[in-house]
Amino acid sequence: MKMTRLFWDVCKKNLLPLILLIISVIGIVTLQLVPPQILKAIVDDYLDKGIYDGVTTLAVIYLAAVLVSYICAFFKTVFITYIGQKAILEIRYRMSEKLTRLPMRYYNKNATGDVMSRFTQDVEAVNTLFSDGLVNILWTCSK
Amino acid sequence: MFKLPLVRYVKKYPQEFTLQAIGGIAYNTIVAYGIVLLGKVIDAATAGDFSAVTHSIAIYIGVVVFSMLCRYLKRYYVRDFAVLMEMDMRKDILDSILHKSSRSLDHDKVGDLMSRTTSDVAKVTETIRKTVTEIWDTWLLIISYFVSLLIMNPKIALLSSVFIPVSIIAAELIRHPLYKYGEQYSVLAGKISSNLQQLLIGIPVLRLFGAEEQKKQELNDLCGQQVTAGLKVAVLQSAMVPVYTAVASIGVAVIIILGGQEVIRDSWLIGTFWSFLTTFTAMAARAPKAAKVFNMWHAADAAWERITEELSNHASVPPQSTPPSASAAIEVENLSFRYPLGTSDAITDITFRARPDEVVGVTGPVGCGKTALCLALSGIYEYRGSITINGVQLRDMNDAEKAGIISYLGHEQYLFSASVRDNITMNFGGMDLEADESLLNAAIYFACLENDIEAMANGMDTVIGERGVQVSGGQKQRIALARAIYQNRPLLLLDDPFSALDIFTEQKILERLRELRLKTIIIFSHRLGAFKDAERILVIQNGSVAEAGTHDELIDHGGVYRQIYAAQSL
Repeated sequence: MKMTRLFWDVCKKNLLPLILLIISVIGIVTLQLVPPQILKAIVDDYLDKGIYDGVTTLAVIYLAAVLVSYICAFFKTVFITYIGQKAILEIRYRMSEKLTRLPMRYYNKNATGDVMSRFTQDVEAVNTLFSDGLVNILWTCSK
Repeated sequence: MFKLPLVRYVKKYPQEFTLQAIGGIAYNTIVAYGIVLLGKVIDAATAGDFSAVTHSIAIYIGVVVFSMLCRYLKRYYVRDFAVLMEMDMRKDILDSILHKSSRSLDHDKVGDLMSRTTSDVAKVTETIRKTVTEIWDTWLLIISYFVSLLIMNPKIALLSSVFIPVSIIAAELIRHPLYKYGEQYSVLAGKISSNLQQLLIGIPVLRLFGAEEQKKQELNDLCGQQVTAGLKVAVLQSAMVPVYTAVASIGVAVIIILGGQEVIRDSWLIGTFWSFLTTFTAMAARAPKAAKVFNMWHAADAAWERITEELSNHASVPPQSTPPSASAAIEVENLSFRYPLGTSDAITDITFRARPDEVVGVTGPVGCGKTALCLALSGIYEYRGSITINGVQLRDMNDAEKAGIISYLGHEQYLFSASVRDNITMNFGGMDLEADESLLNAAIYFACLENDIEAMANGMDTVIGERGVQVSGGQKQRIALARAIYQNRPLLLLDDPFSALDIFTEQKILERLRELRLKTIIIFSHRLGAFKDAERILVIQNGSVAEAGTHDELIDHGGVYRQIYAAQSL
């Protein structure tokens, strides 16, 4: 469960980006609900009844909702990447710190390639937890 | 730009390419029609015509099933096409490496060659596959959506689509910064791994000198820089996508306003309105991807350039089967040789000759140029002066002619992970060459391997080499010697072939080699015991011949040879 510890540590250190991320995700989820509702209103309450006045206003609101949700999607990706990259950095700092403290015994036993792949590839795998995992948690929660 | 070899492979594999094209075109045209059909279902439902609803739904299901079959066809054959292409490229590169001159191979780094054959090829074929797919799934799809919109209402179609090209152009504009930061990111990734590797390998030294902290700081700084570059790449590459989609979607308002008027005027049904809006939204979502096709293509261009560079720089003649010569008389005159990366000559002005049935011994202290002479005689490097075999200048022979005459045994033998038999006969990869049993037995006899093979678990079929049963250093040398003899070439160059053998086995092999008929044998060794019966002995010092003659003559002469001999006989 050390993974969870790291997860919270990184989240705590990046509180502001995390809050902004949550806001963007909520923004996307809410705004995605709006266009179909407006469309329903346009069709049922206006076009079907032959009323045209007010459609233009609704069209503009429809467009605004679509645009803002895309802008939220932009910020979502920015913040999620930011936090993910910070997590990688945090893990790497901790690993390099550890490397300088490990006894020589460790270096005699472990092949250089093994340690290197942990530092590079495995760290990337942890990053997936942040980029995919975090978004999915927020996504499901906001729904 | 646009140098990727798409056309060449389309010509080579027309069937695969055509089938995937049919699938791709059919699928993407039908998808646009599917939306129109659904609109008809809505209209039928609003009109309360139940039989029309079921009729339209039945057609819709049929269309979806058929379109998925087309999609399967497209995906299957586009991958088939890519795999065939990848196989061809790998084969070409491997051919080129195998026929490369030794000089240029020495300049190449193994890692470089490996990345060319693996990741560059993968990048190129992956790009071609994706581009071909995207041509159908993005460009063709956008076009078929647009045509569908034009059919429904040309005026609204044109007005609402104005922002689509704007979005595509905007996405195309970020290509250069994206490339720049992407490059930065991978350069930093490379620096981090080499830095880390240094840290890990050098940890005892770093720790002893108290420099660990400094190295760690350096590594941390690099990691920080990489994170910044990675962030820029991500923002440009993925975060901007919704922004382009947003730009492309501006036309939605136009559709609602103008399409609404059409509905009020009863020239559109609600279903048409819905179809139009849905088709447009789908088209707008595809717009940012349209530029991506160009970007991918550009990235792969660089990889393809490295591959073509690899493919074009081999000028060697393809191997032909030249019948091996029966005998070889070799004459060397004023021979000088320099290693490809060396700054001075390793040997200078060497002259000697050797005839069939003769053994020539070359000796001298460590580093005197024995191996250099052997390499020069092997003909894989350039040399100055003259080496003729049966009157033909060695440098004028092609690879196949050289291989037909010379059998070379270097002092670093390499055994393959295969059976003893295959290691001697060099029969790999199921070439299914019938081993010449009498020649094989002779090779084992001359290399004094018969007792060793008898003692092995599966005899001749025992797997040895990298992962197989370990063989001793002496066995390794003798298996390599048997391989050289099995080649049955008239000129045998043996560079220090007995270093791991005891004197007794060495003598036995030398006696047996004497029984080989018509062979010209040149042995390079610092152990003089090997040369007692040699027709000629060359003593090399500092790259040139210090003394030459038979064993007895050189002992009588009382020079270097006698001194070394006396020291070794103690």
